Amino acid sequence: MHEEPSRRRDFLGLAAIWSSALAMGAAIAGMLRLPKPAVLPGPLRVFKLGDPAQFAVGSVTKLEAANLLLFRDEKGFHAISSVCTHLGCIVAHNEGEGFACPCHGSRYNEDGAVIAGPAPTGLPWLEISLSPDGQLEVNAESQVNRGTIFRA
Amino acid sequence: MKPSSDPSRTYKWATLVCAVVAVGFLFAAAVRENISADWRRYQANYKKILLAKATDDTARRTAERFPIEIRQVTVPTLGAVDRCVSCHNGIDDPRMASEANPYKTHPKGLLKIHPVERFGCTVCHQGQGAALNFQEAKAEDYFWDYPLLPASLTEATCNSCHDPDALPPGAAAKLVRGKKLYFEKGCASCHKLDGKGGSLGPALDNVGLKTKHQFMRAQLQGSQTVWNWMAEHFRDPAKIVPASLMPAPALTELDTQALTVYMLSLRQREIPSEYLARDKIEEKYARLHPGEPDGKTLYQQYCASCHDTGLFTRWDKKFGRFVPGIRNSAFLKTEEDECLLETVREGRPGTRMPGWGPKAGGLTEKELSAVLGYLRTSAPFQDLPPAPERGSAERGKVLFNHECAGCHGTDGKGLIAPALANPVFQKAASDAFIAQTIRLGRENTPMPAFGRAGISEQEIGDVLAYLRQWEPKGPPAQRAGR
Repeated sequence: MHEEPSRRRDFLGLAAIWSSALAMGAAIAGMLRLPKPAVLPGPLRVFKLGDPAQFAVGSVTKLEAANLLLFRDEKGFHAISSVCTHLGCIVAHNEGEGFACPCHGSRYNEDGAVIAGPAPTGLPWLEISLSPDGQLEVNAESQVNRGTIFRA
Repeated sequence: MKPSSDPSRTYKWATLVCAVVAVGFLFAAAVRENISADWRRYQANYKKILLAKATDDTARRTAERFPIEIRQVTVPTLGAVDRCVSCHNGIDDPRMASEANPYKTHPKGLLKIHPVERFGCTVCHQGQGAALNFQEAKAEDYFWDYPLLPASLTEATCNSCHDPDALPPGAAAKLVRGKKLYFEKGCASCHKLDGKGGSLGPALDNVGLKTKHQFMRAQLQGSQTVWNWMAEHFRDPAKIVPASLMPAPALTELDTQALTVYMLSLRQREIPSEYLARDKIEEKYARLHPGEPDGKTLYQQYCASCHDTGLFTRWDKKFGRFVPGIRNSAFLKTEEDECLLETVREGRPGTRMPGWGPKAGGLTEKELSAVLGYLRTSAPFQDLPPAPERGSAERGKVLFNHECAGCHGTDGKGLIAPALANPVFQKAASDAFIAQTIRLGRENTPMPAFGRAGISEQEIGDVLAYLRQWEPKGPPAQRAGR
């Protein structure tokens, strides 16, 4: 009996070891998920702006709470963040001239691209979508490519 | 059969069984969290509803893109992180008015004026905002201080930002009724609110934010919530709080609910001023700058609970003594204004009568004068004949024990009649007042007119001398010591 290699035939022992390892692995996998929350407790950065029809063609709407500007032209809607990419001041919008930062003189054109000053990149364009109840929504967390126009 | 061939066999089996059970639990937990969670099912159903309601391509596309994810409203200024919208997806969508819960639109269009992004949910409804299933959101039997308010009581929280009386007619009707009842039923006679009121019961300023653990629940049957405690307590105070002095207010079921709503609405919670309705600020201002006080209203609010109309002496079962008829004309004719005021201001230590002065019951001097003015409507003060000289206290003692002690007590501490050894009485009552009361008695009370029974002026003087032995002596600090 001692000569027989009992290792390979010890099915029970192997099953016990492997199922323990599986349980351990599943528990560790579950724990590794914990540091990444499903949703963060920060304030909601999606802003409901209401019925798209209420914005006249050619209008510019400034949203102080969200620090963004909503533009409506013949093609559709686009939203540009008004936070300067340099040090985070709130830029001013001058119709026809573009944006100007009061802090260090960065200048952006109407599309938010840098034309002067220390700003490293242009002002980000923000994602616009329609909420299920048909209201215009701007997600200030999510950027889109410059020139993306949202058609309602 | 060689059971003992492998001594580790038992341990292998044990390990295998434990590991399989653990895997089973982990698998079940993973399924519950990632696949079968309630909110996932509700959102999938909501998506179907959206698709069914879509009338054009845009709407259909939006509905198809409806992501299934945990949704939450965060309002840092109110401390709210509310995930209720994870299941109540259509809460601010007017098209969902006829859907079933949880897809339904918020009733009464309230979210139009209280956008959910700005207010959250728990600021009005209470409950555990971060929960993702209804049981935990309701949080009634969980370790959560403020469980979800039942729909019938939710209007309690309106009071945090609105003046109930300034709301449009019909809005928060129970809250308005409860507030009215609070003053009508004279609750303030024993309970303080905003520093005004008696001291027999606890102050109620923050009662709406008390947790159930702050209430005595040994006798409470049924739901162990604060609101059930309050409703049961209004039905029969002594049943919930043994030996409570609070009389059972005669209330209909609706009134009970209204008062419960008002109690729950009393919260000292700092709400940022941008959330306060204009009328709430005006209400606060008006409280700091009250108008001309009305004596009759004050009497109803603060005195009538014990003194009733005040025209007759009243036997109080719970106090076990007579409550004096303070609007009795016979009494008022003999009592000077200053003496009356002093009693109202300082109360009667040793009895249930609390002081009502600015430092005690919170009434201003102006309001005290208004109450006095109302009492005086029964009878003006008539000049009293002078009191006889104080005579011999020894003779007075014999007379007192014979004639007066039956009601006033041998030591003057009072039995069914007022305590004459009371320091405030001794301070406030003049000899002339006592002498006249002995002569004429007190109409509508058991105090007889000893003058008619033939008491002489000298005997009155003797009794006076004896009564005055109870006058507090020495500096107040010594007197206060036991």
